[in-house]
Order: sequence, then C-alpha cells, then structure tokens
Amino acid sequence: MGEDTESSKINHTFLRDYVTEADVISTVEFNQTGDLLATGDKGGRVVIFQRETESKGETEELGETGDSGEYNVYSTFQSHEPDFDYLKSLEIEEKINKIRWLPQQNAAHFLLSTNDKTIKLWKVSERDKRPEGYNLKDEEGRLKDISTITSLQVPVLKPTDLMVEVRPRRVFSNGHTYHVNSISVNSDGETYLSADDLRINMWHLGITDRSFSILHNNIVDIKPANMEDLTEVITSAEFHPHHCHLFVYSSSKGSLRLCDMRSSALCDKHTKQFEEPEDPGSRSFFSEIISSVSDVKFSHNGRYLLTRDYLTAKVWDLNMDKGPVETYQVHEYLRSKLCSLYENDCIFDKFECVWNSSDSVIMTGAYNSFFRMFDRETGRGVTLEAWRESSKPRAVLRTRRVYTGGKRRRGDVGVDSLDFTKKILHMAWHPSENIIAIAATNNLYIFQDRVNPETQ
Amino acid sequence: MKCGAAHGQFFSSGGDVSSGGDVSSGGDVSSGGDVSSADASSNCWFLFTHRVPGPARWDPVDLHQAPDQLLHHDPPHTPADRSLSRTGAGAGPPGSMAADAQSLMSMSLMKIQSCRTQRGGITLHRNLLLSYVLRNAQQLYIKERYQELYRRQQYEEVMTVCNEIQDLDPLDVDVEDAHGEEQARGCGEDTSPREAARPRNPTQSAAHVRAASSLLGCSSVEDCGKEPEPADFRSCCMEASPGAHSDHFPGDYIRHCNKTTVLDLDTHVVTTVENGFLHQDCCCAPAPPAPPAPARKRKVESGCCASDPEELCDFTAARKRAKRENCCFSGADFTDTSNISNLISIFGSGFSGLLSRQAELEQLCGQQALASLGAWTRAIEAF
Repeated sequence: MGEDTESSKINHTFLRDYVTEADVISTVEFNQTGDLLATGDKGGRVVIFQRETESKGETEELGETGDSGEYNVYSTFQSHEPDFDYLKSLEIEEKINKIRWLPQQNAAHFLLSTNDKTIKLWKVSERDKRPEGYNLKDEEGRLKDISTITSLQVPVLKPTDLMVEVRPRRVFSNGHTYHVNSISVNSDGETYLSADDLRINMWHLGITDRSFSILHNNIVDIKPANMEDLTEVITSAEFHPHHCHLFVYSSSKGSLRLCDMRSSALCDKHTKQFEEPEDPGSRSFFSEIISSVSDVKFSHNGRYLLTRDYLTAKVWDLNMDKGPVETYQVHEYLRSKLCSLYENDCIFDKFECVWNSSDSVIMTGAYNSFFRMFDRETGRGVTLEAWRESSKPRAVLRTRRVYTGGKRRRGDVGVDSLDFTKKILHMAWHPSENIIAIAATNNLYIFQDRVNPETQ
Repeated sequence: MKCGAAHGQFFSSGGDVSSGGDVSSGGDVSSGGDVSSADASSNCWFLFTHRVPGPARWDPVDLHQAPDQLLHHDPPHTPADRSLSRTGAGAGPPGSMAADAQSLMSMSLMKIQSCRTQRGGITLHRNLLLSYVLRNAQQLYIKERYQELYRRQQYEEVMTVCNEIQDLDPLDVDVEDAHGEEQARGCGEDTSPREAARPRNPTQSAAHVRAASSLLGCSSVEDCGKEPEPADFRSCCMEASPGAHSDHFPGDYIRHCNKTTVLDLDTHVVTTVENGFLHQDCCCAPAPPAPPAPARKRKVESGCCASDPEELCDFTAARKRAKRENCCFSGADFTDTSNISNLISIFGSGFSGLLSRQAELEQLCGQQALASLGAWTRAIEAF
C-alpha cells in the first residue's frame, strides 16, 4: 500500500491538478436495477460502469451482508461529436447534458444521451461468444484457397473474452431550436420527452423523423409571440414515474407546472401550477437568478416533487400547489455573497438533486466538494465532502461544517475559504440501495453506506 | 480479488480509468464503531479508494455532526439579505448603492456581450437572467439618482424661493425660516444648503443661486463622463395656476402640479407640458409670468451656471418634502414619455428593447452606457 502511494505520487502529482475541460463529468445516472452506472462528460464521451456481482455463497462465508460489489468500467464510447450549425454559424457543444436508461427488456441495455441539440439512443450489448470454424474464411478473416478445403465443418460458437458493443440505434435530431436541458423516459417504455428552453417534445423511441404528437411538434410551447415579452424559460422536465400521462416542468421563475397529456394535445395549459409566493423582504438584485429551479425530480412513490434552486432544496406535495411542504437550506451562508458569486458566474451553476430509494432522504450538491443530505423525517442535514482521502485504506466519510457563526469547531471551514471551483453539480442515488455516485469535476466518487447498506 | 470490505470507489479520468489493479482491501476492517454518530439513525458513508493519489489533505478529523434546521416556509432573512449592496454589508449611504448598481450594470452588460462569443451559442436562460439583474440594477440606479437629483433640486428651488420671498415680502421671515428648516431637514447630510438657505440679503439672491447652481453643476460635471446619448430630464416643477398670485403664495405651498418642464439636453430645448401628476412637494412660483400657452419652448444656455432669474421663476422650491419622494420618479412614470435615456428604454421590461437595441449595445461598453445615465445629473446645470 505504501509503495502504491509512492508510485502514485510520482506518476500523478503533476497531473493531479490539471483537469482538461473535456474530462469534466456532466451527468451521472444509474439504470433501473443499479447494476450499471453511466457518466457523460464535456467531451461527449460516455463511460459505463458495471457492478461486480458476487455469488451469495462467498458473501455469506465472509459474514458480509448484501451485495457489496465494486463498480468497474464496463464500456466507453464517444456519444456526441462537436457539431456546427451552418445556418446560424453556431458551434454545437458535444457536452452530454443528460443520460437516461431505458427499462431493460432483453439482454441488451439501452440508454438515451443528449447534447444541446441531438438525442441518441444507444444499444449496449455483450458478446462473449464468437463463431469459429468457417469454411471459406480463415481465422483472420481472409478467404481461403478453395483448393485447400478438403472437408466441411459447421462453425461453432466458442466463448471469448467479454466484449461490450455499443451501437447507436436512433438519432433524434432537428427537434430543438434551443438548448436541450433534460430528457425523461415515460413509464410506458415507448415514449420519452425532451425539453429545451421554450419547448418540450415527445418522441416515440421507434420513430426518429418527427416528434410524436400528431397536430403539433411539441407538447409544451411557451414561446411568446413576441420574443421581447419573454419572461421565463423551461429549466427541467420529467415524466411521472407511474402515470404515463403526467409530466412536470420547472421554470426559471421558480414555478412548477404539472401537465396532463390527456387534456389536450398541446399542454400549454397546465393542470396544476406549484409556486411559492416570493418573500418581498428578501428581494435583491439576484432574486430572479436564485429562484430559478435548476432540477426537478419526482419521488419514487410519485407523490412528491423535489426541486433545487440556488440556495435551497424544496419538497412539494403534488396535492398542494400553494407552496413546498419542506424547505432545506443548502448553503444559506451564500446569500450575502451573491454579488461576488454573480461576478465569478457561480450564481448560474445548476445543481441537481436526488431522492433515495425510499424517499426518506434527499441529497444535493454544493461548493468546496461538499454535498448535503437531508433526512426528511428528522429534518437534519449533514454535509459531506467528496475528496480524495488520505492513504488510509478505509476512510470514513466525515461530516463537515461551514462556519457561519457561533462557536467555531476544529475542522470548520470558513465561508471565504470555500473553493468555488470545486462544485458538486451531478449525482445519482442507486435505485434500491444506499449507494451514491457523486461527480466532482473530473472525478467520480461512489460511496456506500456501511451501516445501512439496504434501504429500510 | 475479492474485496468484501470495499465500500467505495474513486475514479479519476484523465488517466487510466480502468479499475483493474490493486484493490487494497485493508487488513483491519473497522466496523464503523469509531464513527461517532450521535444520531443512531444516521448513515455512515464510507469511501474506499482503490488508487491512492498522493499526499492529500487530511484535516483534523471532526466527526461531530452538525444538524441543520429544517425550515418550513420560513426562509431567514437578515438585514444583510435585504441589502442590495455588496457582500451584505448592509445598506450604506445612498451613493454607494447607486455605485453598486452601476457596477452591476456594467458587469451584466459585459456578460451579455461575452455570451455572444462563447462556444455553443447564446443560451437563452442565461441571457434572460442577466437581463433581470440588469433591469433590477438599473431601476435602483435610476431611483437613487433621482432621489439625489431631487434633493439637490429641492434645495435649489427652496433657496430660490427664499431669496425671492425675501425680495417680495421681507416680512415673511418665519415662512422663510420654515423654508430653511424644512430644507435643512430635508437635505440632512448636506450642510451647505442650510447655510445658503439663510441669506437675507436680497441682492445676493441671484449670486447665491448661481453659487448653488455652480455647486450642483460642479458635482454634476464630475459625474458625467462621455455623453453619447441624448437625454431628457423632467423636473419636478410647476407653473402657477392662473389664479395664483404672489399674495397667495406664502400660505399656499402645496399645489397640484399641472405642468412639467422637460429639458432636452441635446437640443437644449425646454418644453413645458401639461400633465396630471401630483407633485406634493412643489409649490407655486411667486408672480410668475403667466404662461399663455401650455407648451412653450425656450433656448437654454448650456453653460454651467446659467441661472437666469427669469427662468428661475418657473422653478419653485419645495415647502415640504413628500412622504414618498420617489412618487414622481418611479421607473414606471418614465416609461410613459418617449424622451428617455436610451438605456432605460432598452430595459423597460424583460427582453423588450434588448433585442431591438442589441446592435447599439454592441458598441457600448459597460461604462459608456452608464455614462449616459450620468446625463441625468447634467440637467442640474440648466437650473
């Protein structure tokens, strides 16, 4: 272990602080079983990790409970390339904005990945056999000289090293004028939605040349007749986990709109609007920015919504649209620093938020490699840090605290010493276990709860 | 290698992302007992790195949990939150807030400008948010400037009236004192008007007025830098209604304003227009030349101290400070008139004007655009 440290020191010291822009992780997503974890980065690459499964016998032997397998790299592929819109003379970034897995229907896995303009459906399949014993071709694939063939043989499938193939199966392009910010797969397994700043499209997974809706291209269109009248944009959208006709979208004004597709083909009129009245006492220059919702997520049971704006995370009850039922202060100490954060552009950061599998804990990211978890039952929040631990083989993730007044404890971090370049924007929670994946710039951390590995 | 104790992983891209290699499991598996968790229901998250990076930070371990309060519909706001100034220093003197707004505006404009050149094209969301900040800052800046302007003008007008009252009716000493008192109270931090409001010598009235003008004019010279944009200024002033005469004047300072005067700083044309604004803090001018027509144009010297006594008749002093000083100067009022500084009209609402004036914006850098707003203060010169 010590040697490893040394070699790591030598090899990586000068590289450690150098982060190429292309390596910055821009999205993280578990699949429905949690066995696969996909990450997308700014360079348009997707890396899929697979959890190593251990047989039950071994785990019981060691006295361990539960599946505590590691995640190892399963496949890597280039999903999107930089593109150029010649009509508008605009470069289209290859950064992967979102990845969503489709429910698994056969041996292959399917995922959707999107950049600013184009959504792609990828098929991830394994091949661990290959046919051997061709009559006309030799091992290298060259044609044999027919005169040398003296007998016939039937090719047989022989096991080979596992090979993971990733192939694009669909490309959904030209559906968006503005930048795509979210995609969401419907519970029906056949359709999905994609949202940009002003429109939401619904697609059928089998049809690429047009959006699904018959009469219109979009199911939501909030573009005003006169662009000068624009006051808000769509920031995120998601389908309900169980009801295939319901979806929600959040706006830059901090409101949520629940739409029912049964009511009309174009869901411009929302079924319900969730909005919290603004506190006039807290009005500032930046009120509009910090109230913009950066992420919205349905709870697993479909009864609640979780939203994240710049300073808070809020839980909304679908049955109550007057305001959130719970509000969690993520980093309230930044409220007095908004001007500086505006200056360095940090105020535009879009943090994601996630539920745990039982909807009892919510998690979201912050600065200085901190991320926060809130227990909904007790109301307690904890600050954790995603940082390379020291050489200790098993390091406990210790809780951190930002010093905002009162008695200062050892290890507290002052607000002014927070590193705003180290931000935790993207994260994911395993669908059934207490395993979380945190993206910190170009690093991916996977944490597991030792005390409660299984969700209660 | 079986790693039953592996509870966390660390992947770093930029190098070799493969997870093969040493996965050290650690000899002693601590069962988590050394994690002090005051809360039994809390989870203990373990990180296990399979590739140790090097000398990493290792702050003193403090495993004490810091519970956070759950807030139900009760976002705390301290005075700092409400402040519009930087770093929550609290509301400083009005001048600093205007300066903050000014720097915010220039920053926003530069950000909008840089958005156009960044990779990936213009993001609608970001630009929308930037325009909101710009508008908020602009609204505050205008409000601050007008409050300042209004204070100065009030002093100017008070002084004028004082002197003219002195000229007209030397016996109205207490009225004049009341004037001075009011004005002194009104212009709290400014001591010079207080002194200047006290002159008794009628012959010095004009001189004092000129001095006052020069005082205000000088400060306005500081403020105005370049002047790329034409600007108009509407002063809070009024003409006496035809029925008012000098003998009514001393007792009746509060009138409804029925006319305002607009000065076009480019053409130096003063236009007096009828309107229905209520100006609680204006009062009639003593024995003004009754305006024969509602609108009247005059040429005004653009010099620094153009204090023509004739013109001054049109501008009167405030007797009482309005409870809501900004009643006349709220941003909404100015969207009514067409002659407004370009930048204000640009950011009238949301994106309106932003898109139509974008070409002009491109030529402006932040400071230049803001200097146009400094044109407001140049109006003081004319008075």
